[in-house]
Amino acid sequence: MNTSSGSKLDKYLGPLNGPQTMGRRLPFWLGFLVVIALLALAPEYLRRYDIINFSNFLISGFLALSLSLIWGYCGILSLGQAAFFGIGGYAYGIVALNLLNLHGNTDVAFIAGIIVPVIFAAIIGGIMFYARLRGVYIAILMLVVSLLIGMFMRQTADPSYTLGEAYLGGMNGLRPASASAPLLPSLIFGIGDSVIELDGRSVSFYYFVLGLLTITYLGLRCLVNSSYGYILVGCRENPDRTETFGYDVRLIQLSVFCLAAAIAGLSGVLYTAWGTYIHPDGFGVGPNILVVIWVAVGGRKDLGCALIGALVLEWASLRLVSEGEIALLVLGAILVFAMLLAPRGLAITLADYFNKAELLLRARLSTGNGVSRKNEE
Amino acid sequence: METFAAVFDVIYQLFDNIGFLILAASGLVIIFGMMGVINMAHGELMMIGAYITAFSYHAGIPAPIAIIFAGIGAGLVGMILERLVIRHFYKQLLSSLVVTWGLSLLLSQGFLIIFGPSILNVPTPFGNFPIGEQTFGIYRLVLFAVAIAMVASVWAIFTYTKFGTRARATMEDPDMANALGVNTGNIYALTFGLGCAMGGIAGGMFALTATISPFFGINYTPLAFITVVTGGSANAISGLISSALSLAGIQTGINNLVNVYIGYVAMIGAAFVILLILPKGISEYIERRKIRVRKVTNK
Amino acid sequence: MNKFLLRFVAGAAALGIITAVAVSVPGVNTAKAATDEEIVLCAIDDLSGDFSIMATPKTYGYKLAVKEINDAGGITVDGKTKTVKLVQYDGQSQVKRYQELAQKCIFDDEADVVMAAYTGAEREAARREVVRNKTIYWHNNQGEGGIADHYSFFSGPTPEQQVLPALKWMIENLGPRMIFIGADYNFCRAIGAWTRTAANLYGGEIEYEEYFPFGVSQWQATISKIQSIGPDFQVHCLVGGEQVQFYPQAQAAGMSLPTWSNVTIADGYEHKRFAAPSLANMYVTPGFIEDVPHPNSIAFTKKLRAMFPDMVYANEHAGFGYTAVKAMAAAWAKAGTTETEAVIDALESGIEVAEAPGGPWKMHGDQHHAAMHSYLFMVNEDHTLSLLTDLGYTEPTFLKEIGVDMRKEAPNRQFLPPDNPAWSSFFEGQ
Repeated sequence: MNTSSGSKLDKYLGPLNGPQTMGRRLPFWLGFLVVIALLALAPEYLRRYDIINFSNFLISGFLALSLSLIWGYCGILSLGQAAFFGIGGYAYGIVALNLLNLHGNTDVAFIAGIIVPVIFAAIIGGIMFYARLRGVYIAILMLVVSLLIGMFMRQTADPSYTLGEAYLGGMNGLRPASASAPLLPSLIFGIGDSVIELDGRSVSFYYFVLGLLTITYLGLRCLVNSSYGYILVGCRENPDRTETFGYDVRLIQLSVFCLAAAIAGLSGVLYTAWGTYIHPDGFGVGPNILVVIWVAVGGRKDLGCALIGALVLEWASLRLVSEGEIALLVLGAILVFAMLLAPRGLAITLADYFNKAELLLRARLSTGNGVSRKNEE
Repeated sequence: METFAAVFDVIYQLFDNIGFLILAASGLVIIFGMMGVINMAHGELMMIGAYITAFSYHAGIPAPIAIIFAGIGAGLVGMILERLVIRHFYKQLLSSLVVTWGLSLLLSQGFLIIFGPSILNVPTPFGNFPIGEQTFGIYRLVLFAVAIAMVASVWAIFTYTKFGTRARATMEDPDMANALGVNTGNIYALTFGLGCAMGGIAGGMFALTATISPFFGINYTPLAFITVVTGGSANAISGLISSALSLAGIQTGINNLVNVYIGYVAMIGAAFVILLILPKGISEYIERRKIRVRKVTNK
Repeated sequence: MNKFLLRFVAGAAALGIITAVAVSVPGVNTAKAATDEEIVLCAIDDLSGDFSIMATPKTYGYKLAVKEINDAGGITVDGKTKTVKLVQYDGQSQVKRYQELAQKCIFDDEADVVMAAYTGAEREAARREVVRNKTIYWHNNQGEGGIADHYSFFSGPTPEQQVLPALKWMIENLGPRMIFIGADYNFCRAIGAWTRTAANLYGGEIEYEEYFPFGVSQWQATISKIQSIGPDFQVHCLVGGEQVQFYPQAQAAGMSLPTWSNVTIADGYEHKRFAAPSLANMYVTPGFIEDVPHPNSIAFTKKLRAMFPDMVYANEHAGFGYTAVKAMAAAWAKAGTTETEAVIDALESGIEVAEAPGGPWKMHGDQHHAAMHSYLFMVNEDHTLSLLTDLGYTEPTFLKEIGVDMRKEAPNRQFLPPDNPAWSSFFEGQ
């Protein structure tokens, strides 16, 4: 903002840039384009297996964005963010099993997978925020909620747990209730009379997820750099003062909590469609903490850094699995050292560092050209 | 006699459940309740205690001494971890969560690689006694007694010893304590070590009734956290006792009225409701009442 | 240049290297894809996490079988003699990993067969992925049975070989009054249904039946309840480190009623992990454990111990992991190719493994489950095992009675006892 190229860029990228996100100047946006291009061209130079994996990693990215939004920007840590992921996945699956034969597509299921977690978040969040709960208590309460849902879902092995054509299926995962019901489908969009099917293992599914993630990331960037974003940060930094300015902190917390639930739900929908499988393991302690780990290691106070944390850690843990029992040992060591080196997050610390170096480089160059930095400003 | 047996049965179960929750949470109440560190590796320190107990016992050392070894061993491991890692994460609740999750992976996976997937446990001592038609194990009552003894000694240490005063001063205001000549670094390490030692003793006690594997501790951690958070940190000791009492009471009641599944759900549900009504835990409510009573009597 | 610039350049270089490695690493894998000289067998098992106790010996069974096949010169398929390449992954006791690793087996390693999972949840996660990519899948420990799927094969015993013959013996020898307690999930729910079937078929009576969530470790309430009922014997399906604490607690409380359990000993060799006498008076029905006195079993255990001296106990998993690999070897040899449909035809023709550790073993092609022996053991005070009786060589007939013939058509679903019309009356009013 203080430099000339920054202000020029701001003209074009206006709502995307602002103090709430890192990477506002030209080098970042060039890098961003390069990464998008590399990812978009990935099917050209990677094998099918890698593409399937990348789809999976990108799906985790949504979950990381959703937690970064509420934790990094609004100061609400949820240790139960994976619950919304699971609810979204189940909602998608249950609706899809019931309506696929009727509609021939999963349009309604896709929407249900986003709406149901929002409704759930509105209820739970409403209770919590209007009871003025804060900090670690919300974190633990959300974990408790997730564990309770998980406990319920695990014991739904009894054949009486059916919702129409969907049998909840306990720990073995969601299944069709009868022989006539369809299998759990990948995404099938029906627009008018035409039908677009995105098989979870296909390149088109990968592009769909990549596109959706890019839109979500850019959309959230606009959001946090808008005045709403400033209020979010206000709620994080000092809720009482924000309140005295006349904002209803509870409502703001609830609204952002619901938005995060929608994004987490979307992640669950895509996961279910990707593997045509959803199971109650995701409600456990491990998967919930994993989301916190991605975001903390990347850097919770920046959307992009949280996203990078999720993608890199997911990639690393799957790579490590081939090494046998040593994998979890290495992962543990990575977490400990990452937090020791950069308690605010690895990606965010690196980015900060580049920022400083780049500013300095710019200053050098401009003084070298005989133009004083002061004039430029 | 029949009704006496039935009543005794329920009381026995209640003691059993209270003892279990207090034991699992007793170390955490210091580490989380007083020091404000979310220690996800607490279960792994219990696991270390269980391993030390089993190895010592099978080497011919009597079980009670083996359990004391477990406490010392886990306490030492805890102090080392505190100096190397944890001390960088005071006042950073959530970074401590991530780093201790990493430690828990390191410890459990390290034990798996070194000692294999399981070892032989220690037989349960003391036998049983009959009431009416039923028989009851004595060891479960010993668990309860040890749990109470541990809480009492934590209270005594922090109330009556010089270390306790200094520790409370340090937790309250480290800079001030430092200025008054307290070596806060040592106090932090010792307090953390004490919490880990309690975890080690708890692990040693459970080693006599459970199978021992590197993943022994993982399942105690969430329940221990729920107990501690429900108790709140206004007064860690009264919080722990009151939350264990209420959670175990609800669990025992529903267990007998409905079934174990609903009892378990009811216990976790109760923690949820208590936190909604008393967001800072039960102990804060107790403290408030105490102050109110004091004000009234002063008038 | 000042030090910031220097650091900037160094940092940029480092980041560049990391990016380059990150991008190139997935590509490097291409080199290790299957060569023409090898048949790829991909195995996913829990080497870490709660279930590593059970699944680790299974990986030993795989390794021994593959070594024997390769030492004998391999298998002749498609006109070439190929060795078997065993690819093993650690599922870390996490369901999601099974899904991801099954994909790795299929797309990265181009496996000819995938053998994966211990629990039902892991099995379904891996199996769904393997089956939808039209690859052969094996599950190699006891399961709830009844899965009728074209690509899925099961080497381990089913309730037909365990629950029915064992409970028949228990009812005849100990009396008809029983109680059932189990973990609240699919497998134990199925075992509960089979127990009900056995009780109805052989004149038993279930006086109390309850399912418990995972993680329950306080058992006094249940122990009191069982003591007040005083049954002739108990049927247990307690799963996981917390639930099995029932046994020391029951022993400490002085309850020593005979207990039949199909998840204890055979999978987790608890008699080697609990101090005696916690498990005294327990009855178990494995298809194989190293205490089975069959000559095959003795020879197998000896070879396995020689290869893996640290092994605590050769459990059912070790035996059926070995058997499954041997069965696949026979099927590849018979088909003369690794082409999936031809191999399935070979398997469905009724492959036999004469050297199976638990005694003779034969795949029934119409049902994708195997005929095998099962044995009834009792745990003594000192935790040694006594063989009470050989329950005989049991053919799988459950799917046949429902009318499934997988050689003609695979319904691609799971059947449970209530699906058998002859038994449906047992489950009315439940």
